[in-house]
Amino acid sequence: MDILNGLMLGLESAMQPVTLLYCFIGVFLGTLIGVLPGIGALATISLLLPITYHIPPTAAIVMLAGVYYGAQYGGSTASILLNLPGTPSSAVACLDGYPMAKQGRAGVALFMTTIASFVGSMLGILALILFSPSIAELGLKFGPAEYFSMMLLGLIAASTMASGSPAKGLAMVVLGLLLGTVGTDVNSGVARFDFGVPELMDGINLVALAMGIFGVSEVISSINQVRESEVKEKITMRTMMPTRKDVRDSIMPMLRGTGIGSFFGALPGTGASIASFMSYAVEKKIAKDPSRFGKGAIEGVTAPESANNAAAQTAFVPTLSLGIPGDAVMALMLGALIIHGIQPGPLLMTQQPELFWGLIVSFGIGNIMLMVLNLPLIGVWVAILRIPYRVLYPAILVFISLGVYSVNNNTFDVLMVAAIGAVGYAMAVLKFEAAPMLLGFVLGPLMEENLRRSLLLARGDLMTFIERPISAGLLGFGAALLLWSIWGALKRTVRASELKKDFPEAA
Amino acid sequence: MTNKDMQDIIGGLALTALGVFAAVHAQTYEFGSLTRMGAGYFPVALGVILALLGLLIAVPAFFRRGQPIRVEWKTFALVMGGIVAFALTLKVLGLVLATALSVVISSLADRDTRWKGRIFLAIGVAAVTYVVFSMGLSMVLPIWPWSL
Repeated sequence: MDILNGLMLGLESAMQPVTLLYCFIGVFLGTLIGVLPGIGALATISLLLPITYHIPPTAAIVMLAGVYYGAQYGGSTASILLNLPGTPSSAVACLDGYPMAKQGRAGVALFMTTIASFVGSMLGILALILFSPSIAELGLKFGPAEYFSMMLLGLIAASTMASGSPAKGLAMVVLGLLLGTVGTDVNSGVARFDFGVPELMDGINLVALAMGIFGVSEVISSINQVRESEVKEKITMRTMMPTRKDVRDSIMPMLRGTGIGSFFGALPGTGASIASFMSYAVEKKIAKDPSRFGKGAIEGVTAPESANNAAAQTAFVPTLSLGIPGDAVMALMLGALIIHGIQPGPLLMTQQPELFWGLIVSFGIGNIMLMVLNLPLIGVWVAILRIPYRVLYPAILVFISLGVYSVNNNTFDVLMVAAIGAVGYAMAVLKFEAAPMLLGFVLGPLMEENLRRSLLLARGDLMTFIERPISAGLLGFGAALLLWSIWGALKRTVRASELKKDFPEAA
Repeated sequence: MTNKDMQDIIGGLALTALGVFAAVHAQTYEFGSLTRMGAGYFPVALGVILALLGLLIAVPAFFRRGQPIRVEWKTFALVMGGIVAFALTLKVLGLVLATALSVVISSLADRDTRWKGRIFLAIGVAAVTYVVFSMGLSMVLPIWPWSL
């Protein structure tokens, strides 16, 4: 079905009152948790997953998606005002946003980031509309070997782009894959790693895993953290107005950021965070006066914000048209879709067009809602930031516990969250990143299935992955990424040891 | 041992141990061949890869200076306690009391909360939880100890 027809169908589907209501709830909630440091889209979406059982599937996905891209709007608020990122992808906004606030330009920064987020999102949606059909068509040519290679590429991208050494990222991915094998193997019916515990025969609960690793451990790490200066400035509509120079300076960065964001969002394994970091790096490199960055350069705030919003939208491209999640949040979204009986992939567009296009149109509606919400409500978000964390976190813990309980009405799951939370905290303390692990966990069963099938078709010939052109290309890209990150890690180690030789006292 | 990167050493060795355990345990499942992969193939392969990666992480860490490990034991224990308390008391004490208990325990982790604030917080969160989960989402939950 061509794009215009699809959009009309989507409009019909998205304008249903139920869908609109949940879209609003999603974007509102998304902005709220985006503003609040310590709770992210990941934890919130996993919290909402059990709740989505009670509402129609389209509305459920629209709401979860709203939380996802809504969080990218609110995330920069705390970065600018408190030098504390509200979401991982807004960490970059601290670099120039906080100095702007100290210069009394917080209002302008907040206003411009909202505009930048809107621009990034809408153009990202455009990219989504233009490219999804062709990607889906390409996806129809995908056999199990191509799927396997694409997922492998995604996992490699996720592990190498993560901070820290590529070995740690890869190890986390492999750990996730391994955890994904827990449960009953579909092909043979064998219960793997269940240790006689009946609850484990269905595998580890995704909600418990996500909430334990991200929610609980984030809470533990955030308690008793000293917050920097309290929000002092009074934000009114007048203080928010940018100068003409601000606007002129921001147009090209916003467009560049959108381009970068759209690319990284669509690439499996990378998402909003990487997009915003890359965008900042690019802006700094091509700026006429790079020394302005870090002191309140407005491009340093608007470009990354466009990037992370664009990435949040285009992340749906591989998820919807190929069924391969781009990052941990998309992995959760994929899990949510599957739970509702929706099978993402190239067939989704043709079999359930009203869902596919309805979702895309709801993105547009949601972003418009967010623009309308965010500009006047900036004062409200600032006020909310004044709520001390010590009031919030006990409630968060109860919500997590109840959320997990509600999946199976089983208190064992709640205990499992505690156990997983302990592991998650250990990982955070040891500085091992959890997001690649979640990606591996969700992709594990799918990868194994595709590996098996492609080997079955190729009669055990491993060369099939290289003989088939698309698969070879994907694997080649993955190998290049891997080599590039290993090279980067080696360079860092060499430079560090050379530094030690020059300054032995500093070591 | 501050001249070693303890984070990576502990983490790497833990991963290696996990990988070895997985690979060994999965041997009991049918292995199969490349053409017909059995239930044990993937886990064993992953376990071996994980074990190797763990070593790859731990060994260079011996020669590298790392940051000190900071563990907030008290916070950790109290957060765990809050969740576990909720899990164990939900069906016995009902939603309201279990929530209140959980809030009280976990709020002990914060240095700045006073007992008066704690009680108010417990009541407030219990009320919000009741409204959102039991009324708003119509979840089937025992509310009080006597409503089982």
